[in-house]
Amino acid sequence: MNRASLRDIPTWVWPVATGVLVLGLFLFVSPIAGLVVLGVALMAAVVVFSGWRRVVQIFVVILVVTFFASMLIRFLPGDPTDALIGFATPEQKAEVRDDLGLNDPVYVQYGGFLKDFFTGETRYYQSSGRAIGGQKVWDRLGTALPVSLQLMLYAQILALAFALPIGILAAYRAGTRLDKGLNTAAFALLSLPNFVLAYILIYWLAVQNDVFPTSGYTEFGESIGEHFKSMVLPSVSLAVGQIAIYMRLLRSDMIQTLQEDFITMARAKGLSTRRILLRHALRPSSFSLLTVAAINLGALIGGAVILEVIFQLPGIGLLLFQAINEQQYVALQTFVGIIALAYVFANVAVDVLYSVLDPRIRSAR
Amino acid sequence: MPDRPETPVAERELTADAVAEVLPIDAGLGIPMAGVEADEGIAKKKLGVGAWVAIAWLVLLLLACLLAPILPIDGYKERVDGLSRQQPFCNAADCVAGHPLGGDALGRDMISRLVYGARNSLFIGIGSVSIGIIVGGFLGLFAGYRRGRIDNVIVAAMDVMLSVPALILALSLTIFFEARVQEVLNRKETAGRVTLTLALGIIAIPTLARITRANTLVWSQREFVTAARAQGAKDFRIMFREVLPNVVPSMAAIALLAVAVVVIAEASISILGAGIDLPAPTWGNIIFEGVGDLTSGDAPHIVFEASAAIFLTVLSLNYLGDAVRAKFDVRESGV
Repeated sequence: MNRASLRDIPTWVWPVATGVLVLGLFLFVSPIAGLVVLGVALMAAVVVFSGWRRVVQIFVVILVVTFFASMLIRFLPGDPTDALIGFATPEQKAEVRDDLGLNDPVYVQYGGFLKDFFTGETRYYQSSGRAIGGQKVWDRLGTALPVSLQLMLYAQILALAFALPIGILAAYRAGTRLDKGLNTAAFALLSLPNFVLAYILIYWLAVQNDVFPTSGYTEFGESIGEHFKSMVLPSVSLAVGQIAIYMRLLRSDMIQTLQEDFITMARAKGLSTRRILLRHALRPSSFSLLTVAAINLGALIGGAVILEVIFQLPGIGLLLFQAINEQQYVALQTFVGIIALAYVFANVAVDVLYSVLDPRIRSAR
Repeated sequence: MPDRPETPVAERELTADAVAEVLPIDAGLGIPMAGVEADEGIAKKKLGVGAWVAIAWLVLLLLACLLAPILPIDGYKERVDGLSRQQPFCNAADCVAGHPLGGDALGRDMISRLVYGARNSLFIGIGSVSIGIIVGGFLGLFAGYRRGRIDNVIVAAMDVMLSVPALILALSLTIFFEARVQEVLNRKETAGRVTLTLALGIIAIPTLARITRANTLVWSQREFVTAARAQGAKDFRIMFREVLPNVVPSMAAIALLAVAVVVIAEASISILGAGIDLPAPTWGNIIFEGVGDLTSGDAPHIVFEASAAIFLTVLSLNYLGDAVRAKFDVRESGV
């Protein structure tokens, strides 16, 4: 009997269909619906490629991370409301304490935190007027998230655009003076913190020569030219460290690949160097690049936070910074939770992508 | 997630796992760690000129830190009349002499700010990595030697810690712990220093634990461990007398890189306004205070001098970390 099965559908259909669905929901129905579908699709992919154990593992991590975020407020000494709304009246403080669940047992507080977190009911507090019922945290997040994502996306594109050709060149010319020079440069760049680079660029290109603005952000819809002008310095600052990593990694992988028999074969067939490098050697050399891209997500997020503060880009990093300085600890907890969750999901996504690209590690653990 | 590596870093090819293992603290701290690979071009068998320059810089820095109170420099709070925003190496007639690196916005000597800043920054760097080495090293040794259930629990715990971006974890620990630590220590400046050290120390634990565990797994399979066990040596003795000495070199290499990461992390946290309270100097605080003078173009040297100190220190530590790793690289030394 010839039963049709899910396996008959070509593999590329799944991610494309999911992508279209998620994007459609995100844009036209509701962002939350899009995110939920994305989460479900990701989990399904994890089940297919890595098994149920991994799903359980991911849920444990999510529970621990959100629990940690919800408990942060309890670390404040004495009465947390003193730090939160210092000048409020005792009645307001009591109200806030009640609202935070500080009078309840830990698990009730955690439940309340989760509920507010996922329904988007977490709010800022005010030290004057009514303490409860300030602006919703999600309202500000909605406009902030795209800015952060843009910054990371531009930086990643820049990093790859430079790292790929330089890495290939260094591998092709391995051992020569050019290779050594590139390596030394990469090593120095790795030791250059992105905020240092940011200050150098600000002074050189924004203060001394008025090429780019020192800080500030223009929306894409407002003016495309101004938008990219405002994003150049932060993206470059974020990208340079990544260029060095990617380049060194690609170089060492590529050198190994270039010693394989199939490269000799290709050369014997008389293929051009360009074709050998780009078509035959690049793909098998790019797996560790992908892995490191995943590991680097943490660096990217951390770097984006700092650079948003330095360049006053209204992303999630700047919100975090404002929450620290305005002692909005509840909002801060939410941001920590969201960044951690995003990081977990991004790592899961790369895991899945990795097993799609390299069938050897689809595990039966 | 790919299976965990069972061979020490030194003996592996550059696989995905090797990279994961070698890029410690996942660098959520804003800068990726150097030394993705043990590089022939940079790390030679004998210590090269570069390594000696790096050592010289670090020794000089440590000496300056230790001797700061008896060096002929101003106190870090001392304000000098007319020194405000003075450019470095100023030769004009109206310059205050004897302050080659200039002054900051409040007229404090930059040299003394940098030296006392180094004291705080390096205290935090070395202190937190020590916490990482002691706690993480012990956990890794224990997990790698005992294996089984203990191993699974420790590895899972470390994985959870690594699943939060390191800078965000360090930042939240700092903000929410600081007042608590202040209650105990009641001196504000010390409390700030201790908080940052603890927060960054906690960040360093999983990295060092993973490295130690990966190496312990291999070394505890060797013949001399079996021999020791056959002679009736206790587990504790085998772990610390037989296995640990072999694991130390790779821990040392990672520790050097980790100090570099922590120095940058401290600066990042200070730039975010959550570091040690002003006016105590750290390299990060100096930058934090000097940013206004950079963007106005009045006195960019305040930010740049502190940045240069950070860059040179991080470069030296990365270089030495790479050199140490290459030196103890079993594969490269042809054993």
